[in-house]
Amino acid sequence: MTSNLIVFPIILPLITSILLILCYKRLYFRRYLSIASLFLQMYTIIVLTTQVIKENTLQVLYVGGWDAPYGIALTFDLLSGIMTGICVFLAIITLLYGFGYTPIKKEHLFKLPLFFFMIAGIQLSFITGDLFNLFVAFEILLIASFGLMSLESRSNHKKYTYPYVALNLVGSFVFLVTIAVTYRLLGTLNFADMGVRSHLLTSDPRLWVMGVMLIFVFGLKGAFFPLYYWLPKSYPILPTPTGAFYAAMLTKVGVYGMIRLFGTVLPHSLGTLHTLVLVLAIPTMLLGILSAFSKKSMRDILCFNLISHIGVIMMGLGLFTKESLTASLFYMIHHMLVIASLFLIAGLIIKMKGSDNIENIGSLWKTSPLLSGLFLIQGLSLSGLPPFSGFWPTIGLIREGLSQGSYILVFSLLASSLLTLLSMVHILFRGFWDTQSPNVQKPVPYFKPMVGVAGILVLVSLGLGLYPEPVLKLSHDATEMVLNQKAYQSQVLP
Amino acid sequence: MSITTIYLIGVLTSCAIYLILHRSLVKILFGFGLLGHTANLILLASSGNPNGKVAPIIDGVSNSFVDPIPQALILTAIVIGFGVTAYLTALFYHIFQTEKSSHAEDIFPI
Amino acid sequence: MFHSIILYIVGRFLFVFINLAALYLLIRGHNAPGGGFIAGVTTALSFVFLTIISKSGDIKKLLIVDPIYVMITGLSIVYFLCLYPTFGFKAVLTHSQFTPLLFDVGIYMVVVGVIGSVMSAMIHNTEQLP
Repeated sequence: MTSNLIVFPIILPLITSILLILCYKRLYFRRYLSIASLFLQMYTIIVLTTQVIKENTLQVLYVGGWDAPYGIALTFDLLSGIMTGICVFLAIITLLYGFGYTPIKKEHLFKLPLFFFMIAGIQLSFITGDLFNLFVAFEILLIASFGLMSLESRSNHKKYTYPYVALNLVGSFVFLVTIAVTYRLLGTLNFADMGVRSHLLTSDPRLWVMGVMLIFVFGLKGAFFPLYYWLPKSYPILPTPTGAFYAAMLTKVGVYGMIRLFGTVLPHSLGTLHTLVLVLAIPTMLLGILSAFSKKSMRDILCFNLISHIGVIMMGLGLFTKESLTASLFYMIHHMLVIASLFLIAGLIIKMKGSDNIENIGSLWKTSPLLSGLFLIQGLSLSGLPPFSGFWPTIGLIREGLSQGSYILVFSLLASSLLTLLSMVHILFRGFWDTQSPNVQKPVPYFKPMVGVAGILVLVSLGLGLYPEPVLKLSHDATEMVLNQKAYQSQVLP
Repeated sequence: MSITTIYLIGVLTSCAIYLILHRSLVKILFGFGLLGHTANLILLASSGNPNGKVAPIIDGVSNSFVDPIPQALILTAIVIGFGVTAYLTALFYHIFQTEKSSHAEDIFPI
Repeated sequence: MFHSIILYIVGRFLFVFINLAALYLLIRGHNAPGGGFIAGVTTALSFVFLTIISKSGDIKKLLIVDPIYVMITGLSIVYFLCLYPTFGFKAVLTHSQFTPLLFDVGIYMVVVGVIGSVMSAMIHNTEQLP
């Protein structure tokens, strides 16, 4: 099944970015153009995804007409559809919010083009079916995100870009070494072909080495346990719209890589690798959230929460049953929406009070009940309480963990949920219900539609919690498609 | 040949890590450049022993070529490394301008 | 920055020859070692060389167009050639007779534009650098 439509989610942002550089004088036109391009991209993704669901097959494109193991194959399955769709949706939301957040005269000329280059890199990493192409996609999104981070942060904060850059450059180095090892071991870099050949080597220790190196690479991108300390240093320096997009998408690219690696590429019998992920999941869940209590700024607290929830996704990945992977995928969808909306709400608070330090906010409940309500919903959703969207995947993971007999994991999952709730309640008590501290600034008027934009995100995640059936079915089908290696290989390799 | 490559990879990696852990920003920049070259060398080594093989250009005479894929990968990696180096240079220049120092311990005080 | 009159005179001649070599590499890249990236780096190096040997104001006159536009033109060529096969219902990036050379030209312009813009951004007061 060859369809050139697959390439459009990648090429549209690229074309848009050069158009945005060209018409740098028409400030309002640029904004309309970027939103229109994102909607067009959304349309192509919806068309592709419905095609995938209807035919229950992958969409494959052999770039340049070179057949699969030799050329680069772009593959679009349901997982890619979900991830690319959410990426575009969050991009629309954060851009619209950012238009209200930054005055049009103060917006840097290269902000939007770099944002679109980053989207192109993210989409390519979700769509590609080739390990080296995945490296290229990572580099595109990394270089664009470096540029955006140092462009958007304040002048005296720009130096905190360096930890992010340095760690990711080391990650790129290890990725290249891993690609060399893979090529030497398997003689191919195509995912489908790698799957075929690695099945012949299941007892080979070199395959294990390759897997561990890939876990290191994706773990660095996804902020796994020993490799997460770059995240809470670098994300809070961003202005909140961009920070929301970074927090929601960039770590998930690493997690997506793990799902693709374990589900589609490597043989499912490599239990040691799954155990390694499980062992790393426990400290990621607990250490991340414990560090959140030492922080005062809302964005710092959210960043540490983010790390802890990456650990939850890892747990579903490490248990490696169909149900646990479904729960992981659902958790990922829920988490992307919720963490982005919490960042956006934090941004509104910064606009109102001039700071997001919870000591300085004080009695926001009185001045803005709507904002407090939104925060309450999302905070409870993040900790996985029943009527909200976090509940369903958490309960799925707990059930799967109990049936596998891994009680330590279930205990740490529950503990991290409880601690998330505590840290959210901490913010609510100190920031929203506490009496106003004396050194607080007067509330500043802000652009009202921004609350609406954040509200859309909250409504979507609320809907996800109240009626989870369609998304649950979607993630179940996506998991089945990812785990069905035979079908993937027969459809990609002609 | 192969063992020489491995020695070279070891030496280059250790030099790169030494430079990256250095205080001065300029040396860190060189360290990352060197790290990129090491990665390229490792990719080159993945194409196997080149003894008795020629470059992958069809000339009708020889029929034993080295594997061209790692070379294509290296070309891409060089281009990406070039972009990263340009970005790092600009970042360090900015840090130097704002902090008035190129020493890591002045820029990131403990 | 130092200024040597001999180097300057010789360098201006060399500038032409370096660019001729770049052109050779660009055209040769269709079937032999060479290509857009190498040629672009060579041309950009000639500009860097000229910057080093001449006074800091002189290079401004040489940059007739903003390097960003060179980059954008190159990118547009590359994107167009990438999407061009879709009109004939072939896979993206399928090449026919002359498109590889045009593709190389696009890459050449991107590389020159990028290095040029990096250079023109960093050319100001380099004396105080460590």
